Amino acid sequence: MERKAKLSKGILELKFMKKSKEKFEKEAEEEEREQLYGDQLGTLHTGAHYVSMVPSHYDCNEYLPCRLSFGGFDPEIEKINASKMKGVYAPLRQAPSKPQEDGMEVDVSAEKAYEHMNTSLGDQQPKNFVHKNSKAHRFEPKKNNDQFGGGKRGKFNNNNRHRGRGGSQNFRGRGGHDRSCSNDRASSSSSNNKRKFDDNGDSKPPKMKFLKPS
Amino acid sequence: MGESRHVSSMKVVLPGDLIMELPVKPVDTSENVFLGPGLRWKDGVVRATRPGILKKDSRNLYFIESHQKRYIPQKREFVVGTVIKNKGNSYLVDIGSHEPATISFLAFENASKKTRKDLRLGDLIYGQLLVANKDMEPELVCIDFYNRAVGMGTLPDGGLLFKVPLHVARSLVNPSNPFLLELGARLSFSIVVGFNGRVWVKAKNMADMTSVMHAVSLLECMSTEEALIKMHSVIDSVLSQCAVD
Repeated sequence: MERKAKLSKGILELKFMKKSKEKFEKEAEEEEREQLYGDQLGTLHTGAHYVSMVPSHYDCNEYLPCRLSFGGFDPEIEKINASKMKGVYAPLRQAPSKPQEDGMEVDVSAEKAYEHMNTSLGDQQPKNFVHKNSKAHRFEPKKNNDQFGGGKRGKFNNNNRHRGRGGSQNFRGRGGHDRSCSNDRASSSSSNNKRKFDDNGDSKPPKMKFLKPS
Repeated sequence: MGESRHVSSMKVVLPGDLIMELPVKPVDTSENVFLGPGLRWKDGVVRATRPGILKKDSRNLYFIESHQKRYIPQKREFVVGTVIKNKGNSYLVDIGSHEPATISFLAFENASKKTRKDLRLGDLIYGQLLVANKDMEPELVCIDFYNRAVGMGTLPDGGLLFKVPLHVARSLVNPSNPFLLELGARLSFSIVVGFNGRVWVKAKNMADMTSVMHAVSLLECMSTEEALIKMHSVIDSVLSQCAVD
């Protein structure tokens, strides 16, 4: 490779040499880079667009994780590796489930718990459940309400109520109409909710149902 | 993906053997070619630089599988190393290469400047190479791309470290090699295989660890099939020896 004549630093510092100075610097930088990384960056040698060098054996083959555990010696590692086992090691994928089962004994079977909950708790529900259930029931028709700012309590509801008072006649006039009813219910106080339950016929909240375990 | 990458052995080659010709200016239709370790491409000709078996996989990747004991660090490889020096914010770790690797005290899971990871001299580290450059010292990390230690970090006390040739280490973690699977059916143990040829084993007692070590060392001088047959007798003899002692 023939060497270009190098200009001295003093000349390159001159004002009109700005362009050639940049060019010179760029060349020097590239040369340095090639010296440093020439073996790693495939793009630097000619013909690299279709030949690429792979320096590591790690990229030549697919390997298992390098840290392995067998026979449940290190359950944590087996858990991490479970999804990475391939080839002849694929049967180890389900391995870590075994030691987990040994951990705790079952006092009450799922079937028994289901029966117990249905017989004893089904009739006499704790107040917590009643409250939650009725609440869920109350907010069910929320989606009809969207155009009025939703069923949120607080600021927006206060506005709503004011509006409602302003046009109170309107509200009463519509009476049984579904939308106004739901709006009223969402924005009003708890007394309204009690009335709602009375409207349903009996004062008892809906019975709880438990799903049978599969 | 693993199943689609089929590796086939082609032939035995010696250093300097001509493998193929790849012109510098190829015809448009030419496919991409990958040249792995043991091959050199110069002046449009690919030659072998190591003696071994030339292999090719379905991606058009050629490489030479050779007997090798000297470790040359390469990016992304998992290695086992020993802490040999504390340098303030980093540690020097011997991984068997020409130069010790460095590891920052922040390169561990959940490590910060306040919750420092303190390593003692002589600790064993299982980590991955982040930087491997011929002009710079290699750098290790014990976290992956998502800052999780997937099994990486310091190895617990009470294990056994030994060295095997690099090709043996690679063959141990090859998914098509059933050797460790067979060994795992016989004994219960935990093993870390570094690409630098260092293998760390931990089992319930010393006898188990020693028998794993002897079984793995069999691969140095025989094929996997032979080793699978011999393995049981080796383990039996080691265990009976230890029982006597």
